[in-house]
Amino acid sequence: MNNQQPLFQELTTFCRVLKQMGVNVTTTNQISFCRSVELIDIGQRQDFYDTAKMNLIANESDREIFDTIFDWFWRWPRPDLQELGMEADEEGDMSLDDLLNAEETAVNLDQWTEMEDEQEEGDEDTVAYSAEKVLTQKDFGQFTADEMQRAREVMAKLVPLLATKLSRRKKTSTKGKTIDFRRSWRKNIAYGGEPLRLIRKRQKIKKNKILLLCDVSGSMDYYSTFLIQFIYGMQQALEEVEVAVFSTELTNITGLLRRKGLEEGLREVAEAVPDWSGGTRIGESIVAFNREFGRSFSAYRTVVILISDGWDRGEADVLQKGMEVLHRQAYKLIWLNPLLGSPGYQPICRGIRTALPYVDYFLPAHNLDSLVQLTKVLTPIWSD
Amino acid sequence: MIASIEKVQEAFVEQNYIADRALATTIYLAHHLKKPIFLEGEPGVGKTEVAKVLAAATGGNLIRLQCYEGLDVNSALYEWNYTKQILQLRIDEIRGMDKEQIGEDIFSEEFLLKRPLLEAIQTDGAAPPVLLIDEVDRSDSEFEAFLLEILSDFQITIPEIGTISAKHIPYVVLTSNRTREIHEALKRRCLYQWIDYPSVEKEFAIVKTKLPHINEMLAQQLCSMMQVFRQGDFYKKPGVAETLDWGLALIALGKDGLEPALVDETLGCIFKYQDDIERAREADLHKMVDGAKSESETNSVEKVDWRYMRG
Repeated sequence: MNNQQPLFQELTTFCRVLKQMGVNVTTTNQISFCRSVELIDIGQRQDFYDTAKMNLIANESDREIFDTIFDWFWRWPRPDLQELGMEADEEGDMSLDDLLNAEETAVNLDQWTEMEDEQEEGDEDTVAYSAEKVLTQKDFGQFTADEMQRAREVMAKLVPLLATKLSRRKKTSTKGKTIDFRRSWRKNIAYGGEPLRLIRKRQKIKKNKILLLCDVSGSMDYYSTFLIQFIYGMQQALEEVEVAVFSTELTNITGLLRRKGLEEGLREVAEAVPDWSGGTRIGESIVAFNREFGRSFSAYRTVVILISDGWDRGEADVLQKGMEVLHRQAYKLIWLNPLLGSPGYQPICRGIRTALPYVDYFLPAHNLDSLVQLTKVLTPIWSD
Repeated sequence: MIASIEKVQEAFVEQNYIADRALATTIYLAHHLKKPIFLEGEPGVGKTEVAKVLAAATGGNLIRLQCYEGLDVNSALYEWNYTKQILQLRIDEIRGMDKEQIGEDIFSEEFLLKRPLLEAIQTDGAAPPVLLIDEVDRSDSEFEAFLLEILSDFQITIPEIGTISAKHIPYVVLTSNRTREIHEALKRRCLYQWIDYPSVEKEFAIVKTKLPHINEMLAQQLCSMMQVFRQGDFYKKPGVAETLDWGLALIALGKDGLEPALVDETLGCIFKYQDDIERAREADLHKMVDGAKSESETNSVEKVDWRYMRG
């Protein structure tokens, strides 16, 4: 055991590096990994790789980062850990970019989180109702840093209210075809065990699910941050909500948000999504979306919410085909467009004109009021 | 059977299942660490089959829990046989048995309906059973939380009877088609394995094993063609199940090589959506078939040892 000590230290360091890179390695995983290593011939690189992978990652989407770190870490000679900033724990997370000298990605979101850090302590209690009222009608795009924080507070209050409105109506009825023996018997104890009254249960109806497809391209920056936050709130309360973002490429961020919480999640999204604030290819992204989430359409009654301003640089017929498939699969398709809030807006840009025939609801999404409106649309869909 | 990774692979080959080394390693480690296996991947890549083959190879019972929307603890774990209890109660009352005795009587194992999870824990054969929890993504998240509990200590408490612990820790195989994201907590309890579409070499080995009568050349062309199809942009890409269906169909038609017209006629074996079939027709089938043919000629598929391929 003693002469294996260095090896186990290495294994632990490897786990630490993974953790720092955002792979959610638990202590149990680490222990299991170390025990596994004792059982295999570590001279076989392939076996060692497989063993590490199956113990330490729980998502195929983590594989790319795992492979990169694995290849770097278990290489001889390996670059010095200190040089790579491994010791710099207190200076916060280092990004994979630093490590691999990749080019820097534009991260507008960072500025946003910074603003939030800097916000002055301001007495929350004095936020008057009227101030909120003004906020609810103000366009997200015109918010100052201070107002953003307030808007977030309003939203935090709003979301649980809206979410319970959605979920409360799902309760199953007591009429139905099959007899619920467990409850029936319980009920009939009062009659001396004589089965006088039967309780029935109804088959659970197909569950609802919300799939959110959010445009995070440059033109949508201000809005998408808010909207993701809104949907994240719903995800907390409703469970069956999945979120994907796109600008030129589609990325599913459901697991990330769930795992890391909103703030850290969003920060990582900005890192993980290769083209945050890049150009837009709605068509390609919808096709990818159909592929990625296609199977869940048959298992759930799915409401798809697409958030975009419709500025598309991709090809129109790809968009059209994608929308056609999406329209057929989804129970309801809602398009939220922040631009719809600006007075005199006409859906003239090509992306919107192509997509509009396939959309069930075309709604604004530029202020808090419009989010309330969204819930009004969702509630009847949800409960029938 | 599970003494080494190689032994696992051999045992699986005996059962006509081609397991690559990564999967064999997973099974080997699952056995020694007594951990569940979580298999994720596209439909039709043979996830469920792993559990069946594992049961056959170890000689354990296969216990299957098919997950579905609304699956609850009563149908997964146990339920009292209420009708039988009521009848027994009546008989006991007529006999004038005393109350306590009746209570003991009707809440005994005789009146317990065992559902898959309880069954897996109670089985006491020579070999541990294989518990297959299939398509766990179709259940709801409350059920997931419950699974988490069961899988961590393999014991079940029934208030009227007491705690039942597993005699053998069963092999547990969970599968998911990813219709929704499974909570990481559950996945992190398991050894995670992503099953991808097979490489052309591996698929060739599968086809040869499952369809021993197939013409060698046809098998090679078939597998190369499937690779071509999987690169295409289809709503539902064909899995291994489709390859085997198609192979069977071609054997039944008495063919020993692919022709564009033949592929066109049999597209229904490969694609299950009209849109996909149309898209395949729109693509240049001639070119694709020619490509697949030359591919299968230049690559002497057999010489590559699929067992050491990544993925």
